[in-house]
Amino acid sequence: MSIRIQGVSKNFGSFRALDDVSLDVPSGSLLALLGPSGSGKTTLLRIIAGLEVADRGTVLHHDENITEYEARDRKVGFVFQHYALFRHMTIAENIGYGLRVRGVPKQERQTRVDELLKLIRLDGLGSRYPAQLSGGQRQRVALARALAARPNVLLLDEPFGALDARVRTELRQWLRKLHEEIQVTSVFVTHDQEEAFEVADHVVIMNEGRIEQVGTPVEVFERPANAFVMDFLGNVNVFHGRVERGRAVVSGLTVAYPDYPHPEARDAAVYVRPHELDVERNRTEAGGLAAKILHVNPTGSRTKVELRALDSNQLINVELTPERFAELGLKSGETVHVSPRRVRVFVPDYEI
Amino acid sequence: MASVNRRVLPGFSLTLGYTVFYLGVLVLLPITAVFIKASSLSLHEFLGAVWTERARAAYLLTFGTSFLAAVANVVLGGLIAWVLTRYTFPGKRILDSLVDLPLALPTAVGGLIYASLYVENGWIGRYLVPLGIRGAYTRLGIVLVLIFVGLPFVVRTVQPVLEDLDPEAEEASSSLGATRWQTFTHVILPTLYPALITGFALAFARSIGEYGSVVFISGNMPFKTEIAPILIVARLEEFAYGEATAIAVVLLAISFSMLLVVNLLESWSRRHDR
Amino acid sequence: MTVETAEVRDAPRTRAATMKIRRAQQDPAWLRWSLTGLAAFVVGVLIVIPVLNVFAGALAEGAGVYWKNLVDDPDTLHAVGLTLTVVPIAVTANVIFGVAAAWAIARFSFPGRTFLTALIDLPFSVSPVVAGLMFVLIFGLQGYFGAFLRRDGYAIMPYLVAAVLVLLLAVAYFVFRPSHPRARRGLWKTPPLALAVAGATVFALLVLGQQAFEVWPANKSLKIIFATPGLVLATAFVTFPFVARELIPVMNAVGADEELAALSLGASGWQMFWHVTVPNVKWGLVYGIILCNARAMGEFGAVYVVSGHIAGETDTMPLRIEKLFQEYNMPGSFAVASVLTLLAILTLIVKRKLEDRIPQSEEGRRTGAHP
Repeated sequence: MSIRIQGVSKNFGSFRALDDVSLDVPSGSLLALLGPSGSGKTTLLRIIAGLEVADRGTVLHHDENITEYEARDRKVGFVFQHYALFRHMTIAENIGYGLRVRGVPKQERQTRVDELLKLIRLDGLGSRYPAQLSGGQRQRVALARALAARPNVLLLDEPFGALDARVRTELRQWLRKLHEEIQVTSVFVTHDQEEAFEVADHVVIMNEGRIEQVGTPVEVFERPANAFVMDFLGNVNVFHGRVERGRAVVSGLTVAYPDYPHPEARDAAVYVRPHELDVERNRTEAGGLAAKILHVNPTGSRTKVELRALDSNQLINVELTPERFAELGLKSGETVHVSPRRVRVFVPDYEI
Repeated sequence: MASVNRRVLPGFSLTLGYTVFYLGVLVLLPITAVFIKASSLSLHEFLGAVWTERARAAYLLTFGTSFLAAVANVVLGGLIAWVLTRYTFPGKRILDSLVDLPLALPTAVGGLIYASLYVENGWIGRYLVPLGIRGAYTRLGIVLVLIFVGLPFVVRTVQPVLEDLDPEAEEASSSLGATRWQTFTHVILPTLYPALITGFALAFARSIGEYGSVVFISGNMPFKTEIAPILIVARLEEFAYGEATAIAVVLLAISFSMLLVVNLLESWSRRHDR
Repeated sequence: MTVETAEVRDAPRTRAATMKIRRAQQDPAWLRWSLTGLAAFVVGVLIVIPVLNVFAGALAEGAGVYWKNLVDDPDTLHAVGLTLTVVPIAVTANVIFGVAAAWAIARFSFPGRTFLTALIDLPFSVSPVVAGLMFVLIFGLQGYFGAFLRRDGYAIMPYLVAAVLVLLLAVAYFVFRPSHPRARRGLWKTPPLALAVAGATVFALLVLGQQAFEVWPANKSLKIIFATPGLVLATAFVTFPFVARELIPVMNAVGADEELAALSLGASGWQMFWHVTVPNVKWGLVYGIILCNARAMGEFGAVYVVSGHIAGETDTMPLRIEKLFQEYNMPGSFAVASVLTLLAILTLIVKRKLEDRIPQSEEGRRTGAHP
């Protein structure tokens, strides 16, 4: 393990930013801290960097306790959301700063700076000032600056947050490739799940100062640990029903739910992603919810259908492949039957 | 800039006309008078007024003391601004307000108090005079009173810049391995230069023209403690208007060229900002 | 979705808390306290001790003597009266100028705007003594206008006064003229005619009055320099930037939207000014006025040159301090100084109270560094 966080808590006044958080970051991995803002992910990152001091808990780096170390002694590279480039220094001076303050000779510094300029594809622009660069270029400079002194860990705080959509996509792919090249243990913070899934090989989902789930993107998306993760990772339909004897029942619809074999019935929330719902013109034997089509949006790779359940008046979102949609020939105002291919049930106080 | 088409909002010609009229009567007319008066002197007369030994001593004293006071103000004002923006401590608001006092206090009052503080039996003089430090009726006194007068300028120009300083830049520096002192000299200080220069210039410009406070504490001895504005008044009291005007023109020219230099310096030190 | 809303609300709180704690961590305690102590020491020696010294000096011989020094000296009393005459006139003139200049500069763009703004800052770089000298050169005995005005025993004065009156009338005419063309009747419709009529009347009245009844006696003792008008001029010169410089950033920060809204709702220019502009900038205006007032009360150099310092005639309060000081009447000098110091402290308190109420734009943030 490159970084090991054990029982870290942090309060800001009465606000609990981190609540007994423990986390292992494997060497050479690219890990994303994902969560809504205020979930404590940035605080955790800053505690790893030594920019914030934890109230309790320890931070280990390769089994060395670095909790008491100052930021400058931790050998981490930190990339700030708004770059935090020194605007009175040139790009080259910015990148070489970490070497300069550590007393690296000028010649050696120059070599390293040139090397990094090439890596971030800005060779020849070393004598410019940050104000003369575009946002994406500045972000790359910030990254090069963090990498210059060969840090043990690279930490990135919402690295693409301040960029426009097109540059953001480009930089994501570039960061992914860069990480494959240099293999430095990296942790980045984001609130954008798409970004986390696209770039990271491990995802940590945080909420209200706690870690909700850790796993690879596939694991997290396919097997969400709880309702929050399910809800946070994209659109979901929530039905209120109950579970008993290995079944979940939602307004006339029965689905198998072997995780709850007990005979006594309990209230439960049934989560179904829009693409895991199917629409039929006729009622199938498994049963289905009768619903009226409100609106059809056929643009995009999937056709989005908005329906209203006839009995509960609940809104239901369904995503169909264009082929399936064409096959059914749905129109607004029609009444159809909706049935799930797959459900996840979260029983309060009975979560995994 | 909220610039609006002048046909939409009313009052453009009225207000601009009045502004120009008022400035014309109160500023342009008098300044023109000074230059007309000065140009009525022959070159010989002009130099005779401007380049006497006494006048040169006065210029030197004016600039020397103003410069020293402005430098001291940069250091002290920078310190006070730093403390006011970075730290919390009891009485901070009072300290903050007190810094403005020299702006609100009549300069004559400032001069009067300083003169009486630093004489032999004054509150501060009684400790300093036995040590051989004489604050009243000396050049040191002039510097002291000019520090008093110029202090708010540096504090009030540096303070907002310090408040706006990006905390991330400092964090970046320390996570890149810089010590606190390295961060201060490499990252914080360079961003403060423009404000420090402006504060220096404001304090310096104010000191060069200062009269009310200096007249009390300097003793006004020609060649020793006579600053240029005092020399102008001395000439006026001899009804030597021509000579007084000549010296005034020199003082004006220096003030204006200094403003120009400072503006250039400032835009130079801001060259990397957007 | 609900989660989203909840965190957005929490975000600023986190940030504020973060900043506070981070700031506090930055310097070690010993450095923090020694720097704070040093700053407090500097302010103490440079500012606090002097202020205490004023009151100690003024009350050195007891409260009774202090009071006598203030009210029993006729020259001191006259100085107070003179200051209370000169300062309101100069400040009023500067307020009108400041509002007009701020309106023109903050609301319109026109060629020479930068130059005009620079011109407003000019008094900050001119020594007060030089300012005084300027007015002596113009209005003094040997001055350019001095001689001109004195010719024939001030026979020019009725014409000058008439010219000023006509100018004021013209300003009033344009201020009160209905803004909508349809609402204008009679003389409101023809500015040149109206002004010609008014101007002719004023001139005729004054000149005839002087010729026939000697309304304006040939006044040999009338003076500008070494008299109250000179004091007003010098004070106005030194203090005119304050109101304008304070109002321009405030007006920029407030923006013209509300004024445009008022106009579109049918307000006249004058109504818009009183109902929208003035309420929006009033605290900035008050702020400028108190700074202007403080400086005007304390002005020394310029006033010193134009006053001729005749005790009981042209001595303002600061000049009186100097005179008492020269006469070695220290308690008397300190007594007058203590009054001005109290005023300065009062100014600071009001200033502090006002600072939170003034709208500020990001760039036009107040530095408070007005000379």
